[in-house]
Amino acid sequence: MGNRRSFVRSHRLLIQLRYPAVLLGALILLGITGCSKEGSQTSASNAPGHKRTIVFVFKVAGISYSAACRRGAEEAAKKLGINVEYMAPQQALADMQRDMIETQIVRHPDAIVISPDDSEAIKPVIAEAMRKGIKVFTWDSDSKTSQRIFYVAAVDDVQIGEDIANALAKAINYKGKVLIMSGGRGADNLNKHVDGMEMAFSKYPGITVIKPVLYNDDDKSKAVNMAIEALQQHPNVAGIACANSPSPPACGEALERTGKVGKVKVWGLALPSETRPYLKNGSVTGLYLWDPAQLTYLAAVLVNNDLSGHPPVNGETLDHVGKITYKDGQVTLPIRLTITKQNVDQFNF
Amino acid sequence: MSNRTASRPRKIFALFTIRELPALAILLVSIVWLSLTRPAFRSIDNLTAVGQDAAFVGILACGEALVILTGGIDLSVAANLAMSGCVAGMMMIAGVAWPLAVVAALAVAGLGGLVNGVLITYRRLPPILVTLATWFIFRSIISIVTHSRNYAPFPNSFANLGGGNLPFVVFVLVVIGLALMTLRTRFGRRVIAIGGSETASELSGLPVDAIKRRVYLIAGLCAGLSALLMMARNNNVESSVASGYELHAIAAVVVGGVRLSGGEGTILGAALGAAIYAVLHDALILYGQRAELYGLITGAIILAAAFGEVLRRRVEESKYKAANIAVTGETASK
Amino acid sequence: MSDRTDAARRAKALPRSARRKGPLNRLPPETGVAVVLIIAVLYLSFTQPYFLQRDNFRLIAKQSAEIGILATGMTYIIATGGIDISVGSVVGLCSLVLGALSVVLGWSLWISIIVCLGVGAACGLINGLLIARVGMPSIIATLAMYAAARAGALLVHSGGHISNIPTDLVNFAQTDFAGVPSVAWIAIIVAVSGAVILRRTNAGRLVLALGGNREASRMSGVNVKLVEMLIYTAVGMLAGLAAVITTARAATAEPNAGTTYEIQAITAVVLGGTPITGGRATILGTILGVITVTVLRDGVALAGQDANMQQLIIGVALLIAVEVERWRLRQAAASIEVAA
Repeated sequence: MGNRRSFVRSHRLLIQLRYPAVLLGALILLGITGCSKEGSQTSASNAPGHKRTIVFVFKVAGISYSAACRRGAEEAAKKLGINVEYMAPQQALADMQRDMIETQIVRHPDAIVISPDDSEAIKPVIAEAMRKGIKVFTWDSDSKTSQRIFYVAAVDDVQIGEDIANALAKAINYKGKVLIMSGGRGADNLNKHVDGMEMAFSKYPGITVIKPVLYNDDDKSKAVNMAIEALQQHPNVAGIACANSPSPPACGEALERTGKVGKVKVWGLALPSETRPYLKNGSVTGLYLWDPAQLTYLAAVLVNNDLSGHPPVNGETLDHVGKITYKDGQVTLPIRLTITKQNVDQFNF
Repeated sequence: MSNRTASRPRKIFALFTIRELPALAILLVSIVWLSLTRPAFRSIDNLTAVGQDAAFVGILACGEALVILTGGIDLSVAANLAMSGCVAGMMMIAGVAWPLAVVAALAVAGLGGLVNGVLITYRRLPPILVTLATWFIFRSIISIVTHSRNYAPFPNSFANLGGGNLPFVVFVLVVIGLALMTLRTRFGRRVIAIGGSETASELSGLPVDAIKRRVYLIAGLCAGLSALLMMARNNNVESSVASGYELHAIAAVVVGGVRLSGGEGTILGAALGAAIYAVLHDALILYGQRAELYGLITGAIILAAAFGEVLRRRVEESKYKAANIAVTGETASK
Repeated sequence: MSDRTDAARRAKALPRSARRKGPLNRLPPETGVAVVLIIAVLYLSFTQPYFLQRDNFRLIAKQSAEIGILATGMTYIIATGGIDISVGSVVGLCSLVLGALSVVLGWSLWISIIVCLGVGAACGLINGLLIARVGMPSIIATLAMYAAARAGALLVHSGGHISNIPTDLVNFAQTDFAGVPSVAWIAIIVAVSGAVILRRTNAGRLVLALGGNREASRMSGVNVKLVEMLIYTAVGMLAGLAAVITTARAATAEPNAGTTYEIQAITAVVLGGTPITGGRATILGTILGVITVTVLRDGVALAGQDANMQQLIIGVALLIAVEVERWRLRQAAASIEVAA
């Protein structure tokens, strides 16, 4: 009797568990198939000393710029014959990025290359990594006062801001109100772009910059919303200067939605693939950029050379790229591009 | 008290005229105030944008309201929105005809809702925990599958659906549909009965579990619909889209006078709550404030609505006591 | 779910009578989380060569600190049958207050920390007043605080970050005491005192009684409102403490600090075996829950997997833990039926 009762009980449990079990199984399977695509070159790096490992930690996953950087890292792994890993937090949050880097320190790779979400918040963890003998570099965005060895960038961060502002000023005939849109509040490169823009705009008496700067946290849907709201709030705005890559296509979309294509000019940094339709219909006037994959690839090359005992030299010529400049801890690569309606079709990133 | 209202369905109709009053008042006052102080508010462009905003949150809130009416809660609606939106985005970018992608998105959204319903009813797990878990699961699965990348741009014929007043029209249709369903159909009355007292409903032979599953399914479908409209408007979708919208939706429901423990409230209330959200959000922008500060207003109106609820309950309790005294007095005199 | 069914469910799960019958019923509420933790640790020790390193354990201890503190407080709130979804936002607000006072206004560090804790306590007190005095559902009151405190954090320094946090504080977060990170010690002290108060004092028994049956507690002369208000205030203060640690570890005060902390804390509590319906609680389970979540996240990161995998695994672990808890209660209930 007792036996039978317990049999029924366990049997009942099995019956009742079948739905959640199937559902959970399906969900997990879906997750595993999803990540097996990219989790390929990861666990091989666990044996230290055998193969050099460089880990790239970007600001945020989920934007096309980040995906292009990942391609550059993968290319570097192939061409240099080393392990190159690429990761980024789900949201552009400094503490998520820090936790991610802390775990990487435990794995003790040869080098960690970071594009910090927050140039200040990253300092303690960079110091910890350096203390433990891991060489830390920055690329794409800097943390100048940290202990990082050098910073790899495609442009001077302030200069590119000035250039965008000057180009936009020309497009709006040097008069009118302009908006500035950026990504994360703590991102050093974006803040320098914004500084450069404000500096350049202040030289034109006819131009007023609308405060505050709009920060969209590198989230494109949020950027579209913010741009639409800003255009409602300032109906007579003449131009938008964009410091981060999701902003120009988002502004282009917002102009289409509010019927202001052509009336408002947009200049900024963005991927041509993502901005092509907006360049073509005239909602985005022009872009400055570099190929993020190339930037990441070259950062890997420079870091790899440094690990082999060949730090970058000012004026040295890099294969297929040209002369690099190296001063104040910043390596600047001559890979800047100007992208407009006319030449956008040449680029595949 | 909940038992009392459930056992008197007519009482619900009487309350129906009252419960939405605070929300309606807040909405009208803010619209009048804005159109007087900020002429830009009255411009067609601005009203269109407000309508779109109201639609995205409102459709979500209508589904959420049904769930809350049964006494449950669905924290996963925004994650479900992202999941179904990304599925449609992936398909459209891969070249699938957009109507097919729309159907797929709704199917995924419905499936997501059904997962919640099944876990809650078959396993009798608390809704707040189940949907907390599925919030994590939906968002992470879609982030993994899409590698967190964004999908844009969509075919013009689809993207055009998100412009203009179409989102608002869809929103109004959803409100009318769901409101008629809760007020005029047997299913709707049962939803409210379950929220009033689950035990009583079960004892009186209502198929409580089946109704709950359907309610979570509808909440999922609403999330899918909202996803499609939102991605059409933005002409872009990514796995992080609409993060935080679950709380906007719940806040709209609560502000609209739906009781969080279920059984009392209407779809119309939730819709009004969403409209308040959109108008006040716009007010912040028209007054040149940063939109992030919306949190302060949300906090304030949630508190205002909750105070209203507490007051209403006190008044009813005192009426109930008075009625009780009257009844006992009557029997004593007999 | 009406109150009555919850009460019935709890009555069915009376632990004392349950413990008398059957081996399964002697399982403590921490069983589920312990099993998950042991499996995770075993699996990771075999597959991840870096998992068993001392550095990694230090890291897990460090990364558990903030959530450990918040989850201890959250256990109390859930024990009373409530919930607090505002703690993450309050962490953000307190972090900005700490930064603004110690850096922008140049106040002394200790005074800034005390004010920071005070701001946290004030937020908690507001929650407590709304819930206990006004009689709002805890989820609504804390939802309002969730929205308002985050907006407040954005107001303090007009949305900007505050860096150059005093070096004393930043260095403190990097130090060890007796081989364990100092920040983890703070969490340990909070958790141990939380456990002792809950288990060994009258105040703790009151908390559990409150969640078990509010009306009965009130009838038996307990000042229910006062107890509830004190709990929310204390949790607000713990959020202030977590903010101090967050600020110290990040060496910067940012308005986004603490985003998703509330979810992580609730997950840890539920994972640890404290039922969401209140009336029973286990701080040990909560701490195991916190460690489990951190270990799982750490494991995914060590394996070099997509960070989204962390959330997926935590979500699934949460479902499993809830399911195990339900199963345990049913076993207990069944044994009462058998006994009867």
